[in-house]
Amino acid sequence: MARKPKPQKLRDAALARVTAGESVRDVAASLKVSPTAVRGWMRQGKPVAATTPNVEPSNNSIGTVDDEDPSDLFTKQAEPDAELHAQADSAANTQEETTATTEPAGPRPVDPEVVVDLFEGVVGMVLRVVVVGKGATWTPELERACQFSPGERNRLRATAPYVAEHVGSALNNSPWVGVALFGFSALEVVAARFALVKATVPVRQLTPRVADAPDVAPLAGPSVAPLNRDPDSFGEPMQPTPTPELAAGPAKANFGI
Amino acid sequence: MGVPRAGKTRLAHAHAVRLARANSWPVLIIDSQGVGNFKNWPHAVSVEDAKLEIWAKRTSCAFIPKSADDVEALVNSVLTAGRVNLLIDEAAYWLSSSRGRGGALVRLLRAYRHAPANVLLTTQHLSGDVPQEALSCAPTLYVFRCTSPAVLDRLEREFGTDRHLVSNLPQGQFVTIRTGF
Repeated sequence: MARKPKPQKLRDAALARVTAGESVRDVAASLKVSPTAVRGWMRQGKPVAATTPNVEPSNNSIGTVDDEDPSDLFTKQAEPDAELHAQADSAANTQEETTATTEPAGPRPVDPEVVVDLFEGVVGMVLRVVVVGKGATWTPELERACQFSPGERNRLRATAPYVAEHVGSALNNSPWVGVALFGFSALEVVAARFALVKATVPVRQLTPRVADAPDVAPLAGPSVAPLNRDPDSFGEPMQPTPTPELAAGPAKANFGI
Repeated sequence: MGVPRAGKTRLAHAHAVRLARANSWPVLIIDSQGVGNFKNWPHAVSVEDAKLEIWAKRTSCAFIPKSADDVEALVNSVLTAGRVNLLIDEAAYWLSSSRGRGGALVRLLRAYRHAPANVLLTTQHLSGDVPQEALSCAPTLYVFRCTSPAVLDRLEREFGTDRHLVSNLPQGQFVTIRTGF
């Protein structure tokens, strides 16, 4: 006759699996205890941390985040290892031989992906809008991240008025400190100019430029217009001007940088 | 992966701590944006300092990189010396940079088991900046709430994930998708 597992072992097994991310219900069912019992064990004390990193929850299970106190890791994890350090250092020489380009050290770049989702949903197309913090510096990485392919540019050009209107209203409703639009010659916006100031670009200042843009055949050449063009080529510098019809309403998205 | 403030960094942090306790390797956190989740961690001030802490002294630390060069240098060290639990917060940016540079991070994703090392990545968006190499290495995905139609489409198409479930996950909850053995 099979022996019943001891309560302590049941408790430890239940807590380890819940900690690893399995649901209380699933754990209770598989251990043949009630969910109430499992929740009671959880309340009694700190859950047992998974001791085996390979103990993972089952596929498609729903888990809940819990926190771990890392303070015990801030002391030595293992004996100092000079040989290992020498190995790690030797990687520097390998990297210098294989890296074709080097980037200048500079301010930490901003992840441009934060806002792409919004505009995919709002305007139904890919519009790469980048938010940079006030005082941020334009970096080569940021520039490359915002470059459009020829296909993207043509698609955006074809729907420019609609895009301009939505971007303009988003800018006016937004609490951000800067927004930049790149690689879209029909809008003729200089990215760097907007990266460092609060953006409340009125739609009126964008739309006439869009209306003036001639119909052109799909681009065959390089996809990127240089970003350091003379700002005077775009007319008067755009000043933040409140536009009442665009200012109503709360910001529609949390960009959560 | 998931929208901001879903709990991705907290979960990755918890996993890194548990791994470190299990395998006695230090944790190296590449803190891409200097977020509050790691504010209590000791921070290395330079790449050399980080290497010293991790591979010489074998103590855990975080590091805020100043450029893609810093990340590449540390990842090259992980590839060469291994024996570390590496957590890269907001990894998509570095993956994008790394790919363009023929980079160490992409190579690490293919070879981390042989380094040996554990690699934990967080990202807000499963976009083109997360290269196919990242998914081809059979990772375990912890999917928090995602709302982008493109991401939901991809999760549904590639992993059969219920898009309604994922788009309505409450804060702090995630779906586990195991792609390997």
